[in-house]
Amino acid sequence: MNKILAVALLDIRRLGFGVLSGALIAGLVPALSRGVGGNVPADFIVMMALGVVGLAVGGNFGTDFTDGRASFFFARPLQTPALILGRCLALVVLATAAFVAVMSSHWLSTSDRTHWDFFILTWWHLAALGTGFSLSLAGSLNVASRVRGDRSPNRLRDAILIPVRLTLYLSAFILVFGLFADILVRAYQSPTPMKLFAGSWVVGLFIASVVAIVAGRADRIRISRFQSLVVYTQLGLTSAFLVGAWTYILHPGPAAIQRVLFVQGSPDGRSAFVQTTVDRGDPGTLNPVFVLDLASGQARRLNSDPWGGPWLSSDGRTLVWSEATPFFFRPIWRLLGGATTLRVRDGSGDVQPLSMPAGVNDGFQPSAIFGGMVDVVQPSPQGDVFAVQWERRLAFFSRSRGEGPEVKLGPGKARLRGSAFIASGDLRVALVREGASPSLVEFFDIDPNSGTLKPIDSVEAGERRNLTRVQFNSNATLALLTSSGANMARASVTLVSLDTAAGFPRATTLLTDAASPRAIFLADGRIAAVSGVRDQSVLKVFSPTGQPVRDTALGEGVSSLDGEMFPGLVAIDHSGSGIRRELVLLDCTTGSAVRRVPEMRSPLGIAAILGPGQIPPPGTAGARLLQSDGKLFELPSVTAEPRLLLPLPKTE
Amino acid sequence: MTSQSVVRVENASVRYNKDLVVDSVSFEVAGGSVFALLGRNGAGKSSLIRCLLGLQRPTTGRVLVFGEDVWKHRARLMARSAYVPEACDAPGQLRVRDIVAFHRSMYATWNEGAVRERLNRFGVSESAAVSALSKGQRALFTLALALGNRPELLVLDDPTLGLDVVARNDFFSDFIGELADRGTTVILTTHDLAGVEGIADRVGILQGAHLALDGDVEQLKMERGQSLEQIFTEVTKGSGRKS
Repeated sequence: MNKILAVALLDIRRLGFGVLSGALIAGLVPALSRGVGGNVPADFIVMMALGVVGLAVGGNFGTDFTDGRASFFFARPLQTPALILGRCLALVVLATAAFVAVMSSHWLSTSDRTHWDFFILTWWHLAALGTGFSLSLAGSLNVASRVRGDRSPNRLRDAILIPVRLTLYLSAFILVFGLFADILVRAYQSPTPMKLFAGSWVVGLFIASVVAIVAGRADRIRISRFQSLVVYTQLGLTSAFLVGAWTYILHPGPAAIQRVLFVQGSPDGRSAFVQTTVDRGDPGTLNPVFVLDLASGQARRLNSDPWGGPWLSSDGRTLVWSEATPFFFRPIWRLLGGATTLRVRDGSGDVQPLSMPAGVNDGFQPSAIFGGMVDVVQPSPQGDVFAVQWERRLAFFSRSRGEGPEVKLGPGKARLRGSAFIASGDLRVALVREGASPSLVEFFDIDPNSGTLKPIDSVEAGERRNLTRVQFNSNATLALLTSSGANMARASVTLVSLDTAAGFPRATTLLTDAASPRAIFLADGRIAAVSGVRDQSVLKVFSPTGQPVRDTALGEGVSSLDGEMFPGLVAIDHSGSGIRRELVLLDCTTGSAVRRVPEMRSPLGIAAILGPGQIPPPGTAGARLLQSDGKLFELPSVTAEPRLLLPLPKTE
Repeated sequence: MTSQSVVRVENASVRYNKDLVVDSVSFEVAGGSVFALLGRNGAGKSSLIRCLLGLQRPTTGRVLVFGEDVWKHRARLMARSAYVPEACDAPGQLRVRDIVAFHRSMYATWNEGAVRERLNRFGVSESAAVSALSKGQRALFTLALALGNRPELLVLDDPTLGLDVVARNDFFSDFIGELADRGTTVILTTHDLAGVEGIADRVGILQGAHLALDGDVEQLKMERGQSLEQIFTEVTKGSGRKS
């Protein structure tokens, strides 16, 4: 114990004056910064001061070796653990003294006693102290071992090895931090893994230093060798761990699915795109999408977690999603010519990259990492042309002809609210414009080749900021505008004819409501809508021209329209306090309930938001899906029992 | 190892990467004797001294001090030994009294009175910072520290390097006085052949990484009819640091 104290005293005597005077000056910083209008918090100053104390004490080791002073300790009857413990004790004493000095100085200079207690200290302060100590110790030992260690320089060998080593270091750095960053961004957006990762390196460097001191004593080559051995071993283990973790966490199979979050049946009705939580990663962050073949039950994960999408062509054959390209590697990706983060799977099943429009920011920037890259991609039925919307801009990209011109949506900023490719090959769009009438919805056809806009019509439909949905029918000759209005009394559903040859009124208000209504096109052209507040909901059926056909009261509770599950049968989600949730299949012709399925709802309601032609035809497997408590079922027929599809049953 | 041997070096080699600086060196130092390890600059003397102190592990071979492997039992064996490096290794910003206090905690056999008496005799102020001492004072201060624990083995690595004649004489007179008082075993390296000639019992000369000569000083001088300096010159002629 005497020897530990002796070492500690030596360090305290060596560093005490510098540390205390520095801490006293540091304590004045908040007062000085206020004088010039700045605001430096006291706890930040304390953290910096403790970090500097750590750096100073840790650096003593290396300085001793560099100055040839190692023998002062090791040629005395002083055990190595006593030397290390003594310096750790000095670290604690000097840190305490520095803290008291900073706070005293701060208190005297600002007359502010609110921070004058030990509760200002957090784990971050201790981390700063330990990090400073470990980094400085490892760094100074490394410098010491390099200064005089190499007694047989070989210029030719160095000329060859240095670039090789630098390349290896850079590769290892990119690998370790890139994989880790990718895991963090895609699977764990919480500080805990970062703390564990950084902490493991701080501890690793401390251990490497201790091992180097114990193994080398005064032999710089041995210090370097053992320090390198530990650091590279840790680098190797960390790399292996991260490669394993990256592979395991970010590439789950169907068996890993735990909950089904979002389901979209493909327009061809044969498959479903299922966003899930899996048995790894943070359930709020890692949500891989699987393509489920409804006939075989086989599920296949998409190449990468889609950051956006999936978006489908109206024939269901072409699928587009935007990938979270491993974000740390994105600059390298760009250098290699792979700036895309879009992927296309066509009817053949092949997955191909799709270039981003030049204006899309997919670079190494936070906005690109956390979404906001692409809002919607609309594939044409043939799967060759893609309309890409982002940040209120629109551009076309053809797989055969390359990127087309960016469409000028002006004047002013315009926001696309709906789009669909029509038979002529043009893209029909509905947009609202900043600075124009707040309820004005403008319809245009856009030529993908030239980017020119051909006006069709404009309609006043509620208030723009509350226009909740624009839906097109299958050939985009009709549009349904749903608006919740500035207040509930002005909510409305408006049918707009975009085919002037049809001869019926251009815009027809189907209903106004106090609640937020929902309406859909039925496969036979009719329109179904649910309106009305709790206990007063009504299913309204209209003819294709907008004439009222039948009203059906939906009884007590809250009822919402999910979609058309079987031909002529709509799925109503029925719930409410004291009422058991159930899915009701209602016949739109007779108004009668033909089936009640408890604890279930149809995902058609969410899928229908995505646009025209993307809803699987009623009666197909894609339309017969049900969701309940994170599980996905299929309703084989109107009368059969639901069949569990996902999660896959566990095999013992 | 003979019963009188305090130090025994067995086939010790020291290698820095591909540079072999000590190659299979073996020798023994009997208790109470003075062994002078000589060699030209870069001959490997300091590396061998570090091995003797347990500061450095020989690449091959081993070094026994008081019959024990000094690499494995360094701290225990250093309690019976003392080391005087070629340059004072105490932290320069500390005061002499701080360094003395540190040594007091290190050694159970510390003789504070003798140390103070020596410092007083050398004119070294206890309140002075180590860095403020002259080169000669620092050498004498280091010697005073080394002798403070009454060592059974004293290892000196060219301690008079760069000292003027007066300081060198002071150093050796005190050193010889200590040897006369006690039966301390001494191993020293030096380029001061004239200074060592009067005190060394045996001499070993390193040349080309090997121990080229190992023998009794007086016997060698008598057999060859040469002074120690002449013997050294003859043995090391043409050798030197290769790298």
